[in-house]
Amino acid sequence: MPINKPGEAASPPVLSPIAVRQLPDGGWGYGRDAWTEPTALALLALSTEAGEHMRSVRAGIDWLRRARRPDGGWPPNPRVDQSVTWATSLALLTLTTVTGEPCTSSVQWLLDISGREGGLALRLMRLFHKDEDRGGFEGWPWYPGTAAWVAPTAMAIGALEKTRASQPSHMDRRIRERVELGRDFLMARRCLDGGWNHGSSRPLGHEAESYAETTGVALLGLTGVPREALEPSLRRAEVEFAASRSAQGRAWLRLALATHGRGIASGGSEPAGRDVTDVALNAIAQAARRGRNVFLA
Amino acid sequence: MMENPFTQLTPQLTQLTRRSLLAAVPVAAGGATLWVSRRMARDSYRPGLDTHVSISRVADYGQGLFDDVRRIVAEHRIAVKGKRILLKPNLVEFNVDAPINTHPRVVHAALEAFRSLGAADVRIGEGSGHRRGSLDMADAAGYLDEIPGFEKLFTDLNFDEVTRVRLPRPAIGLKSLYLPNTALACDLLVSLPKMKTHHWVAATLAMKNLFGLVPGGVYGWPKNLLHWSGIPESIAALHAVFPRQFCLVDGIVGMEGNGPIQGTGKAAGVLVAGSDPVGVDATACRVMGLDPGKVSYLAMTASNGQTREENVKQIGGTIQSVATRFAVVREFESLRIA
Repeated sequence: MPINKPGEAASPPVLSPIAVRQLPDGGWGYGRDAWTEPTALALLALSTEAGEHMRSVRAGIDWLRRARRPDGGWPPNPRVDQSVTWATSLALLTLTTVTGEPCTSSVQWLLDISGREGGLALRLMRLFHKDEDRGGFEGWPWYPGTAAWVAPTAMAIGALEKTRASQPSHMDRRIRERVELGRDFLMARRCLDGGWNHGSSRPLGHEAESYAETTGVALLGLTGVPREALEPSLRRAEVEFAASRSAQGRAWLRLALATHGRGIASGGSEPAGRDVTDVALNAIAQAARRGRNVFLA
Repeated sequence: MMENPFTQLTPQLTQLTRRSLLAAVPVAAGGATLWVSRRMARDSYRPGLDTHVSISRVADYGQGLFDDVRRIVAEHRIAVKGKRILLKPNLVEFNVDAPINTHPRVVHAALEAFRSLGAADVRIGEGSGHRRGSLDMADAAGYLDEIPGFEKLFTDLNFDEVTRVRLPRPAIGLKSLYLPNTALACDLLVSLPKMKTHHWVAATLAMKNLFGLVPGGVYGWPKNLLHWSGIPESIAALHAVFPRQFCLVDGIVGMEGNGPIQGTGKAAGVLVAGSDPVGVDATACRVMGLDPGKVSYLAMTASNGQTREENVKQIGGTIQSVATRFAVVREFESLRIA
């Protein structure tokens, strides 16, 4: 059941439906169980107007702290016995933004994870297929032990950059190096149309088309890149925003374009927000347009 | 006498182009796996397996499809009454101009067929492997317009509650998987794939469709863990987890060439169905002009010899009456039926 109706873009009043959907244990989910990603995004959204929802935010932060695993990372949900990259990045970004508390073990966990690109078949493919994607092989995977992909790389960059800006530590140099390599990875994986697919821009030698949600997330990880280098991507993001039928895809693009100082013409029909993550992302994007961008360091 | 799997590499390696080397690496790895897996399949014969596969000529997605699908399900005499059924279509992309997704009328017809045959509950579930919004894609593909109350019937398997399952047939680096409770708890899983070629495993049909059961909410998009463990091996692993299946392959309009996304439409005018996913996929391959014995995941799982035509009990039409040669990427030309 849609949370917000088609045609209704998120705005501050939409934060109330997010708060209402908080589960008894303090987290947010897609059904009866709380998951890390919707909990982190709901908290980031609520934190943009924290006063009214302070109790919800406190309960949500407690849930995030409880869900953190001994290795410093976060699982997708507490039933899963494995820390994963994007959940860790979003949780780290949330704790840093909302509480400012040090999360050294979580930063360390993220820094220790990189894409597994070393398989024999893949190395031979890259050696002989010269027009395949190249890069520094230092992006982040979704799930440990697998290849690096665009979205988890961009999310990890965002979380680490924000942590470095708010909590200077002995890991700053390593964070800078990984962020730089991560950005190289993203730029190397850009599709010919200027946007981003999940990972490869030319699988098997065929040009891949970019995806709305991936293009939006990737642009969030490239805030330090010179504007002229990103211009084709920003133009592509505007095209994808107009064409996308996904509430989440449009929300990521809206947030990315706001982050890079690009406005979006208002009007047009808005697809229905399907779940808490869609609505939270939209609220975060609206806040970014008002100058409160939780993804910026 | 076991065929040496490496002999088929010779013509490709002698040309030594970048493209052929690119093709040869997975073929070499696959060849070794194939040789072992044929032995494994031969040693795991399952007596009593219903290998009946029906072939039905269906020209289009018109209203007649409801009667066709009901007749197909009924003629297989599967136990439906009082059962909880999960329909698993194949939703991959937003592009509705290309035949990438299972046609919504096929899913609607299956829903009505199982309801009319007395199922206690029929749900629809998918966890798209490429794009996050399974429900958004269902909307774009016309499912919400076609199927009344679709949103209440649908479970996004990418975000369903999960249980860790130890795989009865592990793949390399894959001994267990978190899988959605909706799929694990149903009495009968109904795989509703599109008939498509696939640039990594030659054909994507009922068995490959099970990748959509693996939750992106746990493993990400795409579900790269399955690639690292080997796509054929992962297909075989998932097949072993879900033995209670019925399969209905939407080959009314399929996809040929660089599938499963960038290929082109191919009107084959056929539905292929049965309770044995291996037999169904092997038959669908023959319809497409591919030798199922050379499709690695079928060779791995054909415990009852279903990759040989005489070991599948055909009902309805014949393969010859619907056979439609699907174009494949160059790497899989050697898989064609002579």
